[in-house]
Amino acid sequence: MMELLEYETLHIINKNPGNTQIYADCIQNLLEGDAVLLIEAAVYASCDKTMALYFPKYIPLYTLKADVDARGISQRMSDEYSSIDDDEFVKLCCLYRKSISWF
Amino acid sequence: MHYNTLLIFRNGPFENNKNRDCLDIALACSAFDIPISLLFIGDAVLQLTRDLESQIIAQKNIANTLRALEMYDIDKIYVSAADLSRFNLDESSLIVSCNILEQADIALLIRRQDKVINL
Repeated sequence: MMELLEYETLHIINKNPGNTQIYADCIQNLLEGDAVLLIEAAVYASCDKTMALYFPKYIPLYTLKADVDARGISQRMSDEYSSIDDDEFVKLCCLYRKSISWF
Repeated sequence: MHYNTLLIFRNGPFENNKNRDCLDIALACSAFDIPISLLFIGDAVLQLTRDLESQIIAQKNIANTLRALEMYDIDKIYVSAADLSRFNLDESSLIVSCNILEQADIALLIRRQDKVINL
């Protein structure tokens, strides 16, 4: 087992939660130290009650604020998610060692 | 310095052009001496099976390119054990020699990379 770092992989999803295989592929490959960012249509997953159960508790979950606001779902977003703006999106990409797009 | 790069194949044969595009990226990386690994998960494990007869449906077959990867020094090919068994496949069903990985090892494989390309 290699050394565990704090900020490893940022997993980015951009498809709505109906694309279950994409979410399964991403979730199966999450390890401690990783985070998930939902952008574009994927922000709908943040108000999908069944979806929150599948993400491991130790994984930080983020949504992109512009996409959340554009879809008017900020009130319905589950508590597990933090909304970030575009500047924070860039910071997050720099903070993590690499990012993977599950598109 | 060259980054360890992983290409993830996720699409079934003849579904779209993404598997072919991934292979093109692999060959390009090889030409630039970038250390590249290939990972086949989900329906993409079917891309590695024998007996794909693409000409019947007027499609191109990437099997020959897959077989040629070894000549380009691309020999790190990984396949999901769970997805192989889901389609009732084993190592003998595949046209290239692969490392078959359990899910926990796939996650570690991804973590070890510097770059991941996921089409």
